[in-house]
Amino acid sequence: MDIIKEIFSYISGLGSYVMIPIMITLVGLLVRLHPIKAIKSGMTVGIGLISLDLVLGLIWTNVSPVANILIEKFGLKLTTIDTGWGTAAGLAFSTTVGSFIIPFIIIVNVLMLTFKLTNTVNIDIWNYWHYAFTGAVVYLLTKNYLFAFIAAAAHCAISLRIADYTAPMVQKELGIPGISIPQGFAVSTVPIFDLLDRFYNLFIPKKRKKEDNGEEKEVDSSRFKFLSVIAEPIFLGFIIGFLLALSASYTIAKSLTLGMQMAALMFLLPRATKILMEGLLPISEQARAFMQKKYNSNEFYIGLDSAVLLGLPTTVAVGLLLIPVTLVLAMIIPMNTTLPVGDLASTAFFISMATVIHHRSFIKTFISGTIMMAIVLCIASFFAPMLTAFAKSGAAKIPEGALQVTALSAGNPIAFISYQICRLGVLGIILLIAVTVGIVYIYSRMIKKRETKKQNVGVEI
Amino acid sequence: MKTIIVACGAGVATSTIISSNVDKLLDEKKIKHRIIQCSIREVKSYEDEGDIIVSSMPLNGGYKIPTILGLPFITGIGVDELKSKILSYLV
Repeated sequence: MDIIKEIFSYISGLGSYVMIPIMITLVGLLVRLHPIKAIKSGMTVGIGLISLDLVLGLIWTNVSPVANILIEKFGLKLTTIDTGWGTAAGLAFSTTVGSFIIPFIIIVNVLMLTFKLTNTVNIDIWNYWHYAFTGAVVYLLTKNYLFAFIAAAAHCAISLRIADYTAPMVQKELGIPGISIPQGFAVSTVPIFDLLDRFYNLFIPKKRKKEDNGEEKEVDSSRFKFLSVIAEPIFLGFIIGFLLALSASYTIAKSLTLGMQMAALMFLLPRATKILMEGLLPISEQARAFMQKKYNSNEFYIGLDSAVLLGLPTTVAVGLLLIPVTLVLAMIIPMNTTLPVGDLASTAFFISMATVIHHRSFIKTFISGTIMMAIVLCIASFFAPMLTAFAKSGAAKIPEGALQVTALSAGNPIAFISYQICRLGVLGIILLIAVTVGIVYIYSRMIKKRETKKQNVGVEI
Repeated sequence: MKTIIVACGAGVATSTIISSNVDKLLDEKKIKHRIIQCSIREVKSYEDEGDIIVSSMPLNGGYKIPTILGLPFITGIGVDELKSKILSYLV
């Protein structure tokens, strides 16, 4: 036993560039990849991680000085830069919890299916990073792997049950039967948007409510032509970098340079992430094939990424409008320390469930989206030290007093609440389990209630 | 030479799986092609170069070229129909 412990502590002492490839190779062997393929997988993930660190270097050498000037000059508290979901996903997968997250979540999913606690088969393996993130921040807090994996499992369990709950609405809006959305961020917004929807309905006269039902006015995104052009990641990066440098009274030439560097950041980060994901591809494909084969039946929902909702016109339009809104929110919210950049390119993700819950209503989705982005900014700022710590565990040299990194997509309410509960130590973990059971129970009851209601209506007709 | 634009939410993960499936299909049918893999927000800037768009999400119109839902490559349901649909636009 001691030898195993020693081997583990030796491996983790090697730093994440060596440790993560070894762990991923082990996981690859575990899901029965050919040994050569498993090693290639592990090394590719490691290379992805190194690429990620290299690209993040752009921030620490170029953006940090500008931000420091702004902090001194205007007293702005923007000490953190949002580098987008790719960084968060990459860093979450490259923690110890993250290396084992794919087989672990599959076990949790299979157990829940076996005990009929969910109908969703989550084949959206990439987005397991949300669960890995929750686990990894809890590990950072408690230094206890058991607690970390319990937290990841709790996030997964809540996600699967909420996915079951929203499945009929999602299927109706998209016209695709048999699917659900267990994506770790999207599910965390469901209770919030649900509550907001009930709140809005208090102000809408009953008569209108009936007329609007299902057929709310949609707003075409072609009205926001300008926004849809600058919503391209490289333009966004350029404009923000340029304006940031200008306000720090850089010369035009220097400001243009920073604009280009930020554009490069926006262009390169997804590519670095892609390398990492390529490494995970053989493992995730194996996992997907296993789940598909085992649960190939109509009674199960296929769990997909919330990206399938991004084509809905309301989502596109509100997503674009949220770009300037998020920037303004970042300036005025006192708790926020994050300069939004990376995930501005994916604002639509944050409201994907709002469009569904608000039946495509533009105005409701817009208000909910604004509230959600405010919450996300605060939580993303809170998690900045943790994400920066994950980045530091690599060999990346982060200079003292440099900017911290975070991602808006790491501003996950479930991760935040889990982290706060786990502050209580052992008691916290017990509480977390109790809360999770409670949430799963409440949603199960809501699903049951809906089903009996449907049957009763059927009898009446 | 046919150009296929493959798009998903971020142009990173799901579109990689769809791309490799499209690639395999067109190689089998000996159709010369190139694939542009991108995020949904980048599709507009590529559509002039492409023949069809294969996306992971249903797209509600507004594009100059045909759009096809590539989700069956992910779910494994309706793959044959999807393949013949893609080929019908390219042959």
